[in-house]
Parts: sequence; structure tokens; C-alpha cells
Amino acid sequence: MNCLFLLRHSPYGSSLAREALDMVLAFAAFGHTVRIVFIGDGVYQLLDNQDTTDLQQKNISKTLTAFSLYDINDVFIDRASIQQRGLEHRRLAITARNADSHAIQQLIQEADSVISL
Amino acid sequence: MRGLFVCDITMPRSIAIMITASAHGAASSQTALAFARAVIERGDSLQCLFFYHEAASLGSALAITPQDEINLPQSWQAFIADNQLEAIVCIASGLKRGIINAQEQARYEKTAFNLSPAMALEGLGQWVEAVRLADQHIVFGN
Repeated sequence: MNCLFLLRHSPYGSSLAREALDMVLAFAAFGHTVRIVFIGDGVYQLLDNQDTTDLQQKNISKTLTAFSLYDINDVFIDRASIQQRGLEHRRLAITARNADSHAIQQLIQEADSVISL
Repeated sequence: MRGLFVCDITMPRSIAIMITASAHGAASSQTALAFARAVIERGDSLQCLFFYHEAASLGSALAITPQDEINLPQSWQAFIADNQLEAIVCIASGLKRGIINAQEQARYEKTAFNLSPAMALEGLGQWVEAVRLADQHIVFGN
């Protein structure tokens, strides 16, 4: 199964971002092909140099760097979401390809399953 | 002309539903129940109801609401029992939020359990399988 995840939530405002990543890894662990689009406030999950010491929360970028261990290589970031938030020049914690709305539409069409969290 | 839909919409389908919204924090946990009822009324089948993230609170058998308000956990549990549906509270989501069954009560030596008998505590793998087996799936979240 080709599964597409649209991850829309900021990393530490709620536990949804973390629990969504748990689900992504579960689909990959069961042998399904996983593609991910970070979109909306979800793009904040990808920022490099996150320090969660004062937040007393687990650093989400540790999970992101585990993607390659699960053969998750198709990671995309919505260009418009980055631009709207002024994050064009920020480094990302992992490699993610820029995608515009047309490319995302294409990814949705190609997927057997789309899960938006 | 068949239009955009690949599947024949006159045939019964199996549908898997995941809910991530809490009982009282978002309207979508109630919308999901209305949707699930419509699925059954239409003659389609529910492959799986999966309660994830804040929706784990819908598994509590102890929720009490004022008389003039809907008791959403109770409504969900009655719907599931009446239709003998497979309903799963994600075990990781449930444990974190204090929604546990007798087995987990014993394992973690807690003083009580509160999971509705209409529901089971299972892992994410059940949802992965449900998505694979169902004709369609839908998420009700935030």
C-alpha cells in the first residue's frame, strides 16, 4: 500500500504531532510505502536545532532522523506554508523536498491511502 | 458516465473510521458518530472504529454529563454495542490518558479500570490492518 500522510500540526502545541509520527512509523514497520507532506503549522516539525529542554518534552527531530531506518525517503514540505511563515532560509533537520500545491495534488492522486493528521 | 468515483457507489462498502478528537474538545467526535450511524443505515459496513490521540477519552465508561447535554462516550459505546462493531482504543493513547482495562490495571497495579466493555485496547497495527482491508477510510480530527 502506498500511504500518504499530511502532517499539519506544530510539534509541541499538543501531542498530536508526536502521535501522528508514531502512526507514520507503524505503517512503515508493517511494510507499507510511506510518503509524508509537512504542511501548514506542520512545517515547524522539520526545523533544525530544536531544543526542548525547557519545554520538558521529547525532541521531535529524533523521530524524524529515524525515518531512514524505516525506509521513509519521500519527505516533502509545502512551499507555500514555509513562505507564509517566513521560514525560507531556515535549515531543516532532515532532507525534505519542496512541493507546491500541484505536486501535493499529484501525491494524493498516487496514494492508495491518505491520512491527514 | 461513471464520473470521478472509481468504485461503484451502489455496492456496499466497508469503511474504517479513525477519531482523534476528544469527547468534549472538538465537534468532530460527534460528527464522526453521526457519520458512523449513516454508514450502518445505508447498509455499508464498518471495518473498524479506531480511537486515537484525545479520542481515547471516548472509551471511558465513567464519563458523566449534565442531563441536558449529550453524553458522547456513552452514545458511542451504546452504538458500538447495539451494532456489535469492532471498536479499538489505541493502547498507547489510552494508557497515557488513564483509559485502561482490567488487564492493564493488573499489569500497572492501578486501583481501578474504566474502559467500556464495548471497546478493546489494541495497538496501532490494528488500524494499519483496517486501512488495508477497508474499501475506504476516514479520519475525524482537529
